[in-house]
Amino acid sequence: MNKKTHYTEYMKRYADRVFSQAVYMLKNRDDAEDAVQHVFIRLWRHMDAIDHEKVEVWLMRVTHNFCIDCLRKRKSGFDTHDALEIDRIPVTADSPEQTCHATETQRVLLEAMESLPERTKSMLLMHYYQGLKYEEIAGLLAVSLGTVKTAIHRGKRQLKTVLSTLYAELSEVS
Amino acid sequence: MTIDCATCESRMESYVNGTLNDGDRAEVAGHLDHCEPCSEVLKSEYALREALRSLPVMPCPDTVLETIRKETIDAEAGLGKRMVSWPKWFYGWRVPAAVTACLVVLLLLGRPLMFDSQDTSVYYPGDGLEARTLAMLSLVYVAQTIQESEERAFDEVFSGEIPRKVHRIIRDEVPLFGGKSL
Repeated sequence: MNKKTHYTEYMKRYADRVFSQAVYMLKNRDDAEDAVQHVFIRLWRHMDAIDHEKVEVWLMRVTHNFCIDCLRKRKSGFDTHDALEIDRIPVTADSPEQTCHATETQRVLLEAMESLPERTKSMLLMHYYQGLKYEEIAGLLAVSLGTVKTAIHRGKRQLKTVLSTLYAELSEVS
Repeated sequence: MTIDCATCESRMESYVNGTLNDGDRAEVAGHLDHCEPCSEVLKSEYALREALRSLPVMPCPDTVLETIRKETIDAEAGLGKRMVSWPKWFYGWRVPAAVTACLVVLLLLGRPLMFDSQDTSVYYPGDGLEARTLAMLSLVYVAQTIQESEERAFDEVFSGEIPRKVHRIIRDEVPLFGGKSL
């Protein structure tokens, strides 16, 4: 396959995932669109140099770095985009009841994730949402395996507490 | 052999991931059978995993993909349109400015151009060719720039705004506009 064919295939396969990761990290669709553009234009420039076996990890690293930069700018006041309304995130569920439950779970989960350090949030999304292994995350963030494990463990503990409270409330209601 | 709760919890992640060896896996399973708190931890582990995985994948807007394609694949293939952004203050002045620039070029270098075909006494083959080439290239450059920035046809911009003769020469002789090669 030539460069163009490879690139088109990567766009088809990963654009939605990069976009979703960016939306969950940045909570802003405009910024997430910028992230996708940044990531894929960069990919095009590096097509000859990257290891195509690890293109997914490469994309996640660039997405992560863009998001962290964007959040940093936002904190410094350079970026004044409004945050994404969680209600606008589409829910995929079969029944209205499931939809309601899924919406509530996602809302609580995303809110809880906001309280986590950005890096931990990114690691959790990479591991559970994108399906990357601990070793891959450690490699792409240039940190030790232990750091990844510890961060994810702490993040999970925090999220589990929030979720278990939610599930207790939901089971009381039903 | 039985394990305690701390050991069980430390292996929980690998247990869920399915990366434990058979011996360790059996120990965790055995412990979970009779330990209520660890079973709760396992449930919450699955619940969190499920919740994170069920976050929907959001489709990237087509407009974004189209923009990326234009800036990468199309640009490299030379299909992208090179757009020139003019400063706002220049917006209303660019055609007059372009015409003035052309006239200056013609005044400075165009004497042989205006007379070479009519008065052989003032025709200098070498000078005339160079001057004419320079003048035409200047006009072509300005015309192209304007055309690209506003996508107006060359004729629309220039007809009636520059001497008819110059217009005809450019139209007939510049390859870009269908004329013969210089």
